[in-house]
Amino acid sequence: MLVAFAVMTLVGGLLWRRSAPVAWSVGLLGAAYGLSLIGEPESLDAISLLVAAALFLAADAGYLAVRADAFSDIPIRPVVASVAVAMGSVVIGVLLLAIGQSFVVAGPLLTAIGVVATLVLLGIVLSEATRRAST
Amino acid sequence: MPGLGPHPARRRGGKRTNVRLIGSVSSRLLAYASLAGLALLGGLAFGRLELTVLAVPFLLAIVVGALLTSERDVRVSMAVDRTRLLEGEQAIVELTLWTPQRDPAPRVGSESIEVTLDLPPGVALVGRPIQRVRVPAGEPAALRFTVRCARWGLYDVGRIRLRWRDPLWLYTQEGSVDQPLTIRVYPRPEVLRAIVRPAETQVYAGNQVARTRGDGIEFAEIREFVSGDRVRHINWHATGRRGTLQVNDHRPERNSDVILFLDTFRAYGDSVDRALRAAIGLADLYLKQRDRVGVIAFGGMLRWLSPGMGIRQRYLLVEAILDTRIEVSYAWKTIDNIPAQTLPPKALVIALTPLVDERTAAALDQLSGRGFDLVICEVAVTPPVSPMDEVGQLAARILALRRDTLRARYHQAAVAASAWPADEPLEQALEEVRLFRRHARRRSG
Repeated sequence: MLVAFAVMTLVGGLLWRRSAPVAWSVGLLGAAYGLSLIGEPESLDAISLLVAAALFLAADAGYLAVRADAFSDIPIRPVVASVAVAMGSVVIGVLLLAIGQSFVVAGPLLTAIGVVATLVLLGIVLSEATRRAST
Repeated sequence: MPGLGPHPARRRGGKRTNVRLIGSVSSRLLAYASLAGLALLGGLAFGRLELTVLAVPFLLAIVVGALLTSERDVRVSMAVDRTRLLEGEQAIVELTLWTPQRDPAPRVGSESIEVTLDLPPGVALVGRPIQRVRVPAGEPAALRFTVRCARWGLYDVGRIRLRWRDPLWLYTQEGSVDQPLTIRVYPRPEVLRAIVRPAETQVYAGNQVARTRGDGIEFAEIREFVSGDRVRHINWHATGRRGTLQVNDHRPERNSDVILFLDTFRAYGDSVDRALRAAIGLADLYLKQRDRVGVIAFGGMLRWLSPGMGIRQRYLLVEAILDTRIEVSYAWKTIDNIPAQTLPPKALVIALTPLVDERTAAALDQLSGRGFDLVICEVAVTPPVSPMDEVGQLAARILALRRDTLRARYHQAAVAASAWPADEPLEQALEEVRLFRRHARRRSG
């Protein structure tokens, strides 16, 4: 049901050419995947690599579809770049999963990496939000 | 750069301007950072590495874009191959871009910059509106845009916009530059074959056959010899028949003064465009006849150009006509505001007017009353009120009747007035004027 709602949100965003529903729909799809993992055994799900790449490509495609750009042009470069980033993320994901496989659950190293990355991201989000609010 | 060799025509412009591209981020960046943060939080909260992996592509996109973004300065120069065009013609705007060579090492990432021209209304780009060019550090890169001007006027084509974007379009750097680069588009003149002959001529030599007698080529009549006549003008055949000395009398060729009277109070559809094209066509024809031509723009802003002749006067006339502007005004104007040297006596005044404004009708009455040789060419327009309803249709009919009444009144005063519909050539309207004047001259003897 969450997936259906996410898809409806994405379609609505594409129809009304709004970018915010695209982000929400991707978040909901990720949440749906995350909820599907709850209750699953502790072994690592390799499909997460493909899910991550698919979510990123869906987000990028959705944003490109709804853009109202004065410099209208065929977005070949961003599409190629998106695919390249998705493939690169798969490689990095494989490394992460390989590292994670050596720990049964999220070990102290991964926990530390996760905390640092989360803090960095929160910092980016807050600074950007502050900058936009000030302008 | 191959394929973009020097243009054969002379260039206008060329001043270099530095442009600093100012960076901004897309709203996607915030969304991607938020999604990545949520994924990481989820992974930490539920202890699942898979959720952490979901954040990887979003983080990778943000980091890669940030690494490729740096300060960019671009130097731009612009030039145009032609600054004077006719309506519908094209001009080529050539841009040259440089980026400073900051270090000997090749730059990371693409220096591909998108360029577009920010054109005013009335000028259109032919071909791709946005062009992308790679600008190697320290080397110039050239671009060409073709612009087309459908309507006469002065246009500033010196404003360009530059944009650099990372491959994912998350980070953007934009800038614009405004260089003084103006092109002048002249109206295409109406094609005319014959002029309206003035009733009176001036004293200088020209191509018009004068009504007076004097030295010339055009034969006038045979009359009796009087003291002072040249012996070479004696018509011996007529002398033999009549028994007294008879001489050939001629009409001299003189020039005339022509004033183009333009109604610029308001534009009704394309009335002003048509009037300007007609004015340039008439001016060309009369100047070729060695007549003196002047112009009066009678409207919200009164402008005039005193009569003159020659090529220099043609350029002045075209520039004066090109500078004509419609300026709405409710102030009453008369021809008393016009300097006397702009309206020389015995001048032929050709009025190009839609005959809608009362001030123009009053001014034409004054001209006729003061004895000017007046010709009115009514630039027929579609009714200013779109006849969508009964009231609109009634208003349109009243306006048409009013114009018909005005024309009839001018005809009664022996002033030639003809209507020039939009779908007919000006030559046809002028032929009606010529016929009327010929008939009027016969009736007046």
